[in-house]
Amino acid sequence: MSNFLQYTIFGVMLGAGYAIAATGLVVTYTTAGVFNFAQGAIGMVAAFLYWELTIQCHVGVVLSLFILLVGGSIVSGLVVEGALMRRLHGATAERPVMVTLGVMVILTGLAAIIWSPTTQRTVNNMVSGQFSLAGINIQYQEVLIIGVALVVAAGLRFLFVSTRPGYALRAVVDDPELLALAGVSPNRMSQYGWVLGSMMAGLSGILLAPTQTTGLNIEAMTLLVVSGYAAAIVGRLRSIPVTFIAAIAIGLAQNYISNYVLPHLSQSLGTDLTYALPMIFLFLALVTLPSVRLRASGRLSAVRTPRVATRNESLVGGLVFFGICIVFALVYNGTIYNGTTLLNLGGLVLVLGIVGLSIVLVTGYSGQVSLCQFSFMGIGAFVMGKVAGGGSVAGLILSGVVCALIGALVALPTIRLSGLYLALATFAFADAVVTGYFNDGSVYGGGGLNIGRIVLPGLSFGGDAAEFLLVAAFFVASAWFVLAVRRSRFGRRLVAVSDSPAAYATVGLNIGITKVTVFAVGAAMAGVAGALYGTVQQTVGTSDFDLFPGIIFVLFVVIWSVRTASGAFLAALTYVVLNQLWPSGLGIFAGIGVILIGRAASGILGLEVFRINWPWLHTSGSADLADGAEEDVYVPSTTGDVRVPG
Amino acid sequence: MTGTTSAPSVTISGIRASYGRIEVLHGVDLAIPSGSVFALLGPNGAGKSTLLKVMSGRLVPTAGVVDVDGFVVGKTPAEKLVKRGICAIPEGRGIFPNLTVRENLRLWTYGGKASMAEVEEKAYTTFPRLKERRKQLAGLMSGGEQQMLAISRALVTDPKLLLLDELSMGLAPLVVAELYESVKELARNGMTVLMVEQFVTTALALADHAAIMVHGRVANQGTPQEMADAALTAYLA
Amino acid sequence: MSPVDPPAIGPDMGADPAALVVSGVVVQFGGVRALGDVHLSVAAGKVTGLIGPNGAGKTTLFNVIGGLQRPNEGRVFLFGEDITKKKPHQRARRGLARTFQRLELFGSLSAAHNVQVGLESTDRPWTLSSRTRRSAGTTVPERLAKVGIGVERDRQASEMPTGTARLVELARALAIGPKVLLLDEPGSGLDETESEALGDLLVDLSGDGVAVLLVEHDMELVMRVCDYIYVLDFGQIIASGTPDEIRTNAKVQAAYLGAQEPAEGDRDPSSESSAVGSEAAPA
Repeated sequence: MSNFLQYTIFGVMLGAGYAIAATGLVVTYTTAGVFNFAQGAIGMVAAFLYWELTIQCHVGVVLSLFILLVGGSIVSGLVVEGALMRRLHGATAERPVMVTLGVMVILTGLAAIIWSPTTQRTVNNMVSGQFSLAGINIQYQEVLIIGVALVVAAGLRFLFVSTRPGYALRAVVDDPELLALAGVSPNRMSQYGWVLGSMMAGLSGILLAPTQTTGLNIEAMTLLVVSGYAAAIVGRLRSIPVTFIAAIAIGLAQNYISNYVLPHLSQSLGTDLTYALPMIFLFLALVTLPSVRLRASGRLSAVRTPRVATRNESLVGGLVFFGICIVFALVYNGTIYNGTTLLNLGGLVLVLGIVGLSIVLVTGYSGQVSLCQFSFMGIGAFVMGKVAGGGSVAGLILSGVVCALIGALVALPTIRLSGLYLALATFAFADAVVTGYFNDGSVYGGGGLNIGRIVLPGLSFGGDAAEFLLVAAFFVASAWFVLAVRRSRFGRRLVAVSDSPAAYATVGLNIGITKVTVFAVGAAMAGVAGALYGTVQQTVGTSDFDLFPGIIFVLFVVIWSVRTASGAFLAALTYVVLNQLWPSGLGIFAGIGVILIGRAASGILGLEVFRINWPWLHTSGSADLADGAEEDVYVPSTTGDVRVPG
Repeated sequence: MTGTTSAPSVTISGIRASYGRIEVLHGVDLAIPSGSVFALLGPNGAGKSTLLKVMSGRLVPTAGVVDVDGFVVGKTPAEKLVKRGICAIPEGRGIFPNLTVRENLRLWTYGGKASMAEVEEKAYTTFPRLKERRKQLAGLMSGGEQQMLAISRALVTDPKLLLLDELSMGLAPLVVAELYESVKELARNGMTVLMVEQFVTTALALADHAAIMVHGRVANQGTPQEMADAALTAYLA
Repeated sequence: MSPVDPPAIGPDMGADPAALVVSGVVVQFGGVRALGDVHLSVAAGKVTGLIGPNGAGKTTLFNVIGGLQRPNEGRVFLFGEDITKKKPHQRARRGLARTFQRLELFGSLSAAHNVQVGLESTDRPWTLSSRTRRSAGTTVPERLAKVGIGVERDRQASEMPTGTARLVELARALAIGPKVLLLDEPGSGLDETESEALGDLLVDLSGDGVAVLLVEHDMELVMRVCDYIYVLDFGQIIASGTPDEIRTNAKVQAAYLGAQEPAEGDRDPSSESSAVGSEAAPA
């Protein structure tokens, strides 16, 4: 019984910490209409800075809190709103997701540079000591966190329900124009929203930091509040009371499961699930959301789409590319760079290029954000190595099939939701797969899983050159496939469903089937790429398919161009080269890049300078117009029918 | 409603405006006398709402000048124009549906000096029905009640120039009559009113001056009597 | 699925069931009654008009018929089958096509491909060969030519002027081979010649047996092409009849121009009920 009470107190405290982060998400969403993926990262930075101030610089707790929560929040809130989000007016729907993810990887990247993981950093409880009540020990820190969460929730509720600024904050997303007509600057309000949201993020990070008894870890701190994401989803990103209660419930559930259920499982499974629980909660919360009602958008998506290469152009382009690969293989065979053969690095580029192509298909053509293509890659490598016993063609095929099935399973419950929720679901899936499965010793055998080179009857790809050319052939084939899909009936449907779901349905086409199909195909491509990755590297490790590298890679594809095959290739090249030169700068580059690209829908290759007719390197010929021309054309209507309130 | 506000006169000259590449207003000229109730009529798509958007700072014109008593609207954002006494009630959606009636009313005077209680009192006196509904979400009220709430903004903020866009849209004539009764009241207290209206007869009964817009230009203007015949031709032709 | 006999309302169609019947549809948005007990029927081979002032609920009614808006009450029948609970794409496959008041084109596709997506909507999705493209290519230009679009067919839809884009949307709707066609202000943004051509096209379509329901503000067009007209005002059918009857109907004039003296207050939505039935009865 006393154990139970002890778990309850700790669970409520955990939930209270999540609640603060979650209400912050709700605040940003209600005021700016943006789900802030960087919420956890902001909390992480705040926790590290708090450590820096209190432990390193011996600044008092109260002053530190003031500096971070007031000064820090204002700076970060204003920077994010002003410099980043405001530039996105009129951008495609996936762009705010990409930009907040960009902020996230910048922060984690900077943190990794500033706070090297070799130093252990523990944050002390803000208040020390404990007291006994009904036979259980309660720490003052626990009481403090619960109290702060209550005060924050009550305070925000008061702000939103009883004050004029609160009303304005609630009103700004619904109708910024009307708010301006009522004399309130909508921009000012969304700035306030971001500042408040950052404040909540920082507060949750600082308060939960002492629970990290083994020291602050960048990734763990960033993902600590994912349970808060789940709570915010349960609150429909709107309701603070519901979000608060959901956060407490999730905190309790998490602690009960960790203490009562997991110990009965095998030890490795138990540990894995502990880490995966928040993501599982998030996934469940998303699955229970009601479908989004289909409605006419009243706007025309007006991305100047790149011209699609014809069949002959892509055939010639592919052959030329393969020819270049042969020359490359001949010239650089045996060259070693940084302890790896150059051809292996080239092979990596091409493998990642295939993953990039899957992103072009899923995100570029059909408009769905997937953050878990690296996870499919990992699953593919695992199937290749484990199920089919290494370098076999059967393993290659099987990895594609398995990933297609898993992809469909991920997509089925979430595809009916709008873009943001699919992005969140893939985010949750990606992390759950890594923490709950890949990390398991039995999957990659702790250190690494051996996958040999592919052996065909009479043919061996043991040599680097042969392997490189094999992968090159796969890349060229994949590019050809993706372009052929785009030219095909199915490709037109992908673009159509992304442009106007309402019209898509009214010509008699099933939105769900189309989206699930393309998601499964994309997963299969990533799976095959994973299997090939295994044959290039020969040994794959747990961390190869982490959430963060996966997100960074998606950002690189967006930066170059999520609509062209060349974008996928250049993203892969950038990723591998940067990873060799300055691995810790990857996230920073990706984040800054995606922020600079802003709302240009077709990335760098879509810019005016690149509007040259390159038949192969571009699937584009005429790409996007430069800035300005890319705004959505809003078709004015002076004949609006009855407006639907709410 | 101090009565000390001096109703401004408005001069609109050569206004052109477009959405993207589509030009909607091709040079609009209008003169709205101080303290008048001016009805702007015309068929769908004539550009009436667009003109109101320009006048209220929601759309920057590509050419031309809107002059309100010597102040040129130009690129001034909407929220700044409010402080200059220009109050625009947009078409069909002058309220925040997800706020309650009371919250809407209080929000109308954000940054103003009036206390929240004063604001509510003022609105409830004119529209007692709003008092009954004060705790209800505004979006859940009937269309007429929603428009009462929308008009209350002009009531509690005491502007000098009121721009009304299709107040009657989707409403029963009895309700419309009640709404325009309150507009008359506002006009009497020294306010220039420009209203875009589909119900020609209703509008002309209320107005001192009227104009008809067709295809992004002012086709006719004059007294309500003069406009009545012109309107029939413009609408049901 | 079991076919329910639609109530007999609207113009007399003899033994033929009406192509489309809307029966007792109510749509409530919060406290706003966007549609209150709407009955109408659209005959095959006829152009039926639906007119009314702004905000009368015409687009809401289209959304109910097309499946984008679920009605609070009432049912929709397509050739006698109750389709009230069917999804939009299921309705389309039964021969219901529509255009939107605010354009809903596939903006990144060319005009021709917009139409092609409609043409191929019943085909299986997968084919990587370009063979179907060639065979279908013979009909896409035809479809576009039918609405008067020739050289512009390879332009990206989002770059077209509104009028032309509307015609593309119409061509796409026609491409699915509809039996019932809902058109939401197809004439707005068209010039005089285009609008005239549109009228001819609608007459042709109805001649081919298509049931057309037309929402339009261009009265000239409505009066010219419609066989029967319903007038919707604040969510109620206030009158119906032939173009000549509608032109002279006092209630209709009042609805458009605003009545000085509202007739016995029956136009308040809360007390609305009676006048509809009697007026809506065909002459």
